Amino acid sequence: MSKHLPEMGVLAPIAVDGTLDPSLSTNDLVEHLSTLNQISQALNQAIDVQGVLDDALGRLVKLMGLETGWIILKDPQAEERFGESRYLLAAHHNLPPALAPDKPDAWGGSCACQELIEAGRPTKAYNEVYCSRLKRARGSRRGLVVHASAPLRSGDQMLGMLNVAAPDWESFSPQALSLLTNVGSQMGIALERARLFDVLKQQRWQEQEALLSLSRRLLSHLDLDDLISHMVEDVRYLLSADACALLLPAEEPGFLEFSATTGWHRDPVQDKRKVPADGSNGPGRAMQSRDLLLVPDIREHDTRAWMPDWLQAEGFVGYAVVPLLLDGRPVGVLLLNQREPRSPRDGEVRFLQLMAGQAAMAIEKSRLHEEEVKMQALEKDLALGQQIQLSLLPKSRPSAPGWEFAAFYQAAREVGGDFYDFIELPGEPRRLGMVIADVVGKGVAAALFMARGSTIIHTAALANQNPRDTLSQANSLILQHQNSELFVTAFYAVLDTNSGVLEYSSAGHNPPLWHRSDTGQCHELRVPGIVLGIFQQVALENHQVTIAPGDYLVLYTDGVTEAMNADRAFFDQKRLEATIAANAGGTAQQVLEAIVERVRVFAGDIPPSDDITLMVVRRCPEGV
Amino acid sequence: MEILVLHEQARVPVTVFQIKGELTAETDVQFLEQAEEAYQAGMRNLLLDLTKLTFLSSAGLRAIHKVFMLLREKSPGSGSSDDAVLDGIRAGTYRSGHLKLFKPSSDVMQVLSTTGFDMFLKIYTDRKKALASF
Repeated sequence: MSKHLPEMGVLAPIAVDGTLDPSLSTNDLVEHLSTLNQISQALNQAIDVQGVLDDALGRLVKLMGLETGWIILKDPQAEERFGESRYLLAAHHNLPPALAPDKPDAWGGSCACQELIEAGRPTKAYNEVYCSRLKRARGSRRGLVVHASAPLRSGDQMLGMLNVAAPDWESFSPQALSLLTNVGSQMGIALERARLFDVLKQQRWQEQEALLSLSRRLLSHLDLDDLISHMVEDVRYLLSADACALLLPAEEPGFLEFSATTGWHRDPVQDKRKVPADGSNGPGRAMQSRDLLLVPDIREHDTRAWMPDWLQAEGFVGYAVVPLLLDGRPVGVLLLNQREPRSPRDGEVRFLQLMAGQAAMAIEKSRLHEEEVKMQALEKDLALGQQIQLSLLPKSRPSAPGWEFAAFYQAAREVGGDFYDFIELPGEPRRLGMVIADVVGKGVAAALFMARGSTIIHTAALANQNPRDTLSQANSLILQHQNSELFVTAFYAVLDTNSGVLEYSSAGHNPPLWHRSDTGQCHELRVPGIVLGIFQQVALENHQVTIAPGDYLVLYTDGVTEAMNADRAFFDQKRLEATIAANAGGTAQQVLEAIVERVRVFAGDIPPSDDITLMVVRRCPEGV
Repeated sequence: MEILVLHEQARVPVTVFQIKGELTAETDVQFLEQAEEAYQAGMRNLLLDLTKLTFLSSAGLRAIHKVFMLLREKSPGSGSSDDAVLDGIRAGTYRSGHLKLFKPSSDVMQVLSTTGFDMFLKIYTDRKKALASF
């Protein structure tokens, strides 16, 4: 057994403060300082201190004029695991065969220097020790018997020991020992720094992993309720809180409502609890300040704070409120509660904030998803609306000897505002009503109006003798049912298929084109008239022409003439007329298709901004 | 579309909107908002200067009609009944008292006449006369 050598006197510590013996020569001094400097630089810069210990030890031993040294460090986990301290050989330089690192008899068991550490005695800058390890080790010791030991410590805590070995005490010069203490304290600092760094790294890694798995879980929930109930569970677990709650803005403005909770005795979600979103309470304040709010012990704070019975009953004493921020905008708050006072650690606060960002994003994503689902439902509604609309349009073309009828309808969106109709009118001679109309206004409102408008005109057509009266009555009926937000342009004509007489009236609709075979030109069927749906009474007129064999009638909505190309030019009436003229001689269907094709080619990639409706009527030439 | 707002003092104060560009489904909201804002600020007479209006779509017409209703419904003393309006239109004498138009291009004029808007909105080609008509 070796022992501390009080009888020989632990040599008075020298150069504890790092000052050097004045007996050193200048050269020695320079070398001494520069080596020390290099060692400390290497130690300071190293993140993996363990890795540089070998090198530092080697330099130190050489500088001390010795050959052998080693460093033992306390195994930080041993105490927890084995109930006693254990030491690890952390670095070694030029060990004699007897102390080879892989020799269990050399490194197993204790040593006098370890006992010194355990006894808390190596408080001196350095200690001289008869090495029990060397003594009991078998094999060549290269004459080594003693070692000088500098404690490696962080504050009061012993981390380990730096040992340099020699055959006798005389081998340690005062300068060498001063160097030893210096390097020992440098190493202690570096080791502690590395340990802290490792702890931090470990914490960060755990934190990141928790965050990662949290965000993975959060993002996998698309349903908002599902998401937030998992979120409060996760957060409560990860931060070992007694209770956790998520509050989101309530429908009632100025309030936050409990949306998900865990760990509460009485579930505030079920009780539909709300808190005012103002400075009277933690969640409200965090929402306003957009900053984390920590109250480790509520009893140390103003007891007049907002604290309703149902909250008091929970027995919370500490809480943390984290605003969930999305682009700096608070979308809700997370409330963590403790029933025992506890201040969160630094890492926990940071984790909370990071997690809040993740949670805000997940909530937003879930919201967007719900909106998307709603949109899909709306789209389904619109598709249904489209089907209803299409069902309102005539399914077949009328047939009358000597006449051809063709029609085309294309909504710019799912539902449109245009409509057309062929109406078989009662009585003789055989009369056919034709209507084309455009509801001014877009979207669902226009589509609903279109549905009503087409029914109204159809009804009015059956009840009235002439087009003017039909449209006038339709106007009154339209106004009975709606305000003046929308209006309709409509052209209505009654065709006597025997005589070819066309009686027509217009309520602000673009004049249809009448292509006459005798002139080869288009004529506008222009009638003054105000759109339907503005005035209770409208001044409309009846006009009349006779359609001759070989003539065409083209009824259209402004979606045709206002079809736009990439240069923002309109298809306009001239192109429409030219297309009709160029296709004169064809069937009604052929002319219609030619127009649709011309418009399509003209517009190119530009999507139509308005519904397109076309009706082509042809009185077949004699003998066809 | 840009709207230049001017304030003229005729017999009564008249606000002039000089509309530059297109009045369509893409710009009608802006036009309506500006008109509503001006109305809130006290505007009761509006002259739409259409000299620089390049295109008027049905959505634009709807917007003009809304402004017509705004000024007609809310202006005291202007409340002519629809019957009276109709009689006036038939007789060619009815014109809106508080909304008037100035110098549309021939294309825009075509749209106004096709839809019958020229039957209830007075259209001027002389700015001084337009202002004096309020």
